Amino acid sequence: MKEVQSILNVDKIVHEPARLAILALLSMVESADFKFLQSSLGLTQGNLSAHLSKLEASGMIDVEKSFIGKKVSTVIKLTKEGEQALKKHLLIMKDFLKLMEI
Amino acid sequence: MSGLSKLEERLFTRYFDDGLLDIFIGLAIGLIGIMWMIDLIALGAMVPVLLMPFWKPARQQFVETRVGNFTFKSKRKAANKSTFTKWIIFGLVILITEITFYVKPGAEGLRNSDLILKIVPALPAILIGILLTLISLYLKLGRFSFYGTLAVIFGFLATYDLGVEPGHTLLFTGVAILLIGYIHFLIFMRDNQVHDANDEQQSQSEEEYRES
Repeated sequence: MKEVQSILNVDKIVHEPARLAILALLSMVESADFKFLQSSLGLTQGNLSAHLSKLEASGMIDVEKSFIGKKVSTVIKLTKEGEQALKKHLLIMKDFLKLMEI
Repeated sequence: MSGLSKLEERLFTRYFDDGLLDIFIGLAIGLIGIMWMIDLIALGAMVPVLLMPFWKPARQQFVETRVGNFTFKSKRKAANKSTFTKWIIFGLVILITEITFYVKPGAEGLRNSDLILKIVPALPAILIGILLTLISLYLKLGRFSFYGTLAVIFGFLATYDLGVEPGHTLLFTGVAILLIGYIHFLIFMRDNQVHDANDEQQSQSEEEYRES
């Protein structure tokens, strides 16, 4: 059953629900700030930071930090690698769901 | 629409669904109505332009501090630009049609007909109603269709001998939008509170994130 085995090839970094949601949101916009992602996804700050850290380490997102007054402003962008990884993941999932007839 | 996904369209709708746009539009229409009532119609036309610079600071102050910010993709920006261009062309066509109707020789009979004379006071509110309906369709925010319907209803009040004039119809419409928008905005503020303690926590967690 090679068709079923294909699901084993998904990128675990992308497959995690919170990270998949982050990538999906970022793929819809040019860039977004930390608060936007947090309010849209309902994640805690620590949790979101941890996921962003993993995504940044794998080169899927770019994170730019700047100071607005005394506050840190974090702007996040999806990289080309991130876009491709998300597309690939969605295609694998689409094929798998087709196989399952959902 | 323009190859934009459902999620992007929902983000676009959400961007304008906090009540702030309602407040600005309500304020603009209400002020135009007041200007009309005191015979400063030309100044009334300037109201939207005068209010526009306040949009971004107000959004930053009240909305972005609560739900953050994002920038749209160039595909969305292009779609917006194309839609606004079409609306401007539509507005110009209406304006030219009206001017032609009023200056065309030989149309005096039609111009002075009872029906036209009765409908004319309702026209400003009807045009505002059409604009609000277009906004509703574009932003996929149903309450703007309701505002559009309200505008048309108020407009038709002016066609009856109730002492209601075009300025009043615009003022009524503006006040109604402003009130509904304000309630919507209060609900948005209640549901999306600013937590100062969390800001500090966020700075800390972002600091940790940066260090990691």
